[in-house]
Amino acid sequence: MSRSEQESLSLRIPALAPYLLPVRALLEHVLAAWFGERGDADEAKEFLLAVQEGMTNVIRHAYRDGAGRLEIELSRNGDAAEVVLRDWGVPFDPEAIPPPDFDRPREGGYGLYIMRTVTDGCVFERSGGENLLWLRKRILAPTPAEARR
Amino acid sequence: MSARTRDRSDVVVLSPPDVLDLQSREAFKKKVRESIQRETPKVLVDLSGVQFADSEGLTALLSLARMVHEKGGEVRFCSPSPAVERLFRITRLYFVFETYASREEALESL
Repeated sequence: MSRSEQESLSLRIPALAPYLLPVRALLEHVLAAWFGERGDADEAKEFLLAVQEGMTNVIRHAYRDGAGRLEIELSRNGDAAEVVLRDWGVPFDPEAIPPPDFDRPREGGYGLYIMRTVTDGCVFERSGGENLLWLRKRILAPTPAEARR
Repeated sequence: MSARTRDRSDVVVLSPPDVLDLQSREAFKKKVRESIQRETPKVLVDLSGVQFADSEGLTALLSLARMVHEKGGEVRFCSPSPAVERLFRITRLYFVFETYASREEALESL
């Protein structure tokens, strides 16, 4: 079994708000272990925030008329943590979302900005009725001092 | 604590839930609406207990500030937790929320 197969998990949940907390708790535990190897918990929490924004986006927009299915795949590939979210709801066009106006902050529209700001990769795709969001964040190698601990 | 902050029955103190996201946002907004029914409210939002907040939580805080301002009131935020600090830093919205390190400092300003 390869390392990425060993270090991955898949979840299939109803795209409903009450599921956010337990899923987040599980992901937080795994990401803290991966990113924590460098002692940089904030990186893990930033990535967790990006995943939360992606899940919330599916619940709020993809299945706005009711519950649907959301699949979450978390894996560690080389020096990065990756998450793929899949849903089968309304297509999401990130280009239709205006960037935040920091001079006149509006109520809403920060999720996409957060995802793009805190990750090293944020890609939306639509294929065959499936929406896919791919998020990636690099796990920095430990410094020599950290590696000796 | 100064005399000015010792007895501040004129100030509504709000503490958001420990998780401020899509699941908790509406309940918090309802609590806010019920708490600031009088005109020109003075509101202090203590953010020390927020363990997790996302863009939905951020929107709830922006809505709160708007509701207070629409009533001619004033709002201050205090003691942001690391989760709130992170959210404000990432979204660069620190300047929108008049934030103080402690509840006492925030009360002094109201």
